Amino acid sequence: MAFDIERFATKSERVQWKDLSFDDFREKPLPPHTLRSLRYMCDVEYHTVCYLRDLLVTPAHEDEDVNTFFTIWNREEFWHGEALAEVLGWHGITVNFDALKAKRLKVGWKDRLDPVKQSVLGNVIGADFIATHMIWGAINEWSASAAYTRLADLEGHPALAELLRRIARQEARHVAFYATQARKRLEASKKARVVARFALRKAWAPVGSGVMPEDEVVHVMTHLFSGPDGMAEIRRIDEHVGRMPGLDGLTIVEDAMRARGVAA
Amino acid sequence: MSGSHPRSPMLAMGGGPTTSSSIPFDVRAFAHGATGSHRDELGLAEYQTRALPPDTLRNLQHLRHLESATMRYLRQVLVTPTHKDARITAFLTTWAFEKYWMADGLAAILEHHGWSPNSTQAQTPAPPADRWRRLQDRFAPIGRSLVDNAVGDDIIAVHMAVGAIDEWIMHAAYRRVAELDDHPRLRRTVATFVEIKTRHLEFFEAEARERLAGSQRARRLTRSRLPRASWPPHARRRPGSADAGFFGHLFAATPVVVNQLDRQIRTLPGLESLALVRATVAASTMPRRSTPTTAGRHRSTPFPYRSDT
Repeated sequence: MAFDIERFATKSERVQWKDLSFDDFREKPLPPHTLRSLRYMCDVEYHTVCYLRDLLVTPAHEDEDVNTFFTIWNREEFWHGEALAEVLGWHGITVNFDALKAKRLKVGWKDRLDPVKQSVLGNVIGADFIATHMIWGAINEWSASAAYTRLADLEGHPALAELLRRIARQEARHVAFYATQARKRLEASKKARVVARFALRKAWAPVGSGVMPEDEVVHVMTHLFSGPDGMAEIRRIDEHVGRMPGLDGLTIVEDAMRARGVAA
Repeated sequence: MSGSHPRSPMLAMGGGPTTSSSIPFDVRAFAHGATGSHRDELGLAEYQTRALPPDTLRNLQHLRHLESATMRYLRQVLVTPTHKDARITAFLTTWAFEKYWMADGLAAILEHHGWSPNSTQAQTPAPPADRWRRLQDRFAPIGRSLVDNAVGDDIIAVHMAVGAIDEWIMHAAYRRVAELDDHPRLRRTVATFVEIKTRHLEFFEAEARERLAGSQRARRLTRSRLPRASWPPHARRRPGSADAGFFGHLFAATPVVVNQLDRQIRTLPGLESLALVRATVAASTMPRRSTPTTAGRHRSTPFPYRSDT
């Protein structure tokens, strides 16, 4: 079914949390390992605009519907960052713009060259490269949705769980856009399928791994996805990927978990 | 209910003072107060008793096109050190959202009149002569990223100055469009949009002033990049673009506005010698092809506007 971009834009609202009982955090604060994972997720949400940059240097930016999605998606993700920062704030953890800037500055030259790399690839490969970005985006959103749902289940704090499920529901709508775009573009071109398969096998890494320290990536992935239930979630993401044209048999997400020592 | 907690001041860090207030721009409060869809407040039924004339609708097409160009602007600035500044990217996220809905509001007015939200020029495929420029445009982020990352943080001043100037010109354009066809409903919509855009201007202007005042290199860089542009800059790079020449034509009969805008731009530190709007009007009133004179030289249309500096 086609993704209804107008409906997505019209129905979009920033994630709400004022009705949730965050006061409970005074009596029952979240444990440090959960706060550490939440901090990671919060930062990644705020850094969405950096991923947007990589998408905009491809020919994708010429499509009006795609631009509509980028505008609304980027804002929704910013508000996910705000919501998670609120939870962290109740625990005395300050997430401010200076700290986010410092993280972006730390990435250094790799980050400076990324748009060049993406632009060269996007223009040399042409419009077919957009499919790679779209499936990449879909996997990021599937991962984010799974991560929020897992954390909601693991922590069991009612207000936190509700917030995380609200965020996960928005991420699921983002999945719908990226997956629809990816499927359409992969179906239409063999070159798109070959390039996407190659790029995912060679370069895919968990969301946030480009900008966050590897120790943090390992902590979050282990916290959320180790054990049979966690790994079942990971395999579900790989199954989604495998159902895309030309991507059958890929187990990139499970491979990335194993490479980081996340055990079933 | 969540109530107050220790985080309250954290994301409300300010930039420099604005011309109207010394209170720093609160990006977080701006994000909280963002305005979404205007469709319920456009009063479209009022256009049934008095429809907008074609000239006004054409102007609204241009304004809609310009409001929709946010991803194009972000494409230019996010490949540079500007994207590192989380406060600026947070602002730009909400700015793009508000502009999206203003563009949507203009589209609704156009559609109500049976007009396409896009101008016919925008829908026409690019002529072969433009293909080279389009190719250049596709590869532009590569050069921009390499050059501007080497320049460093001073490039942010250029982007903020472009944002401020664009807001000044757009404010004047909205007012002019409303004035040309004194339709009460359109005037109210324009007033709403200008109010939203005033917040955008406050941010860009405060950032531009502070950054330009603080760095001689930023002033030199901004000065050297801006005079090459007639406005809007991205339309200059795309001659087939529907909005190239729009401001020039809109302001051609109002030299007072032209001079006023240029005076405003010249209040930015280091930009005292610019006459951008004058140049924009001049570019739009130039004949498409100059006429050879008997002496074999080319005659251009004399520019009817005078800078008051």
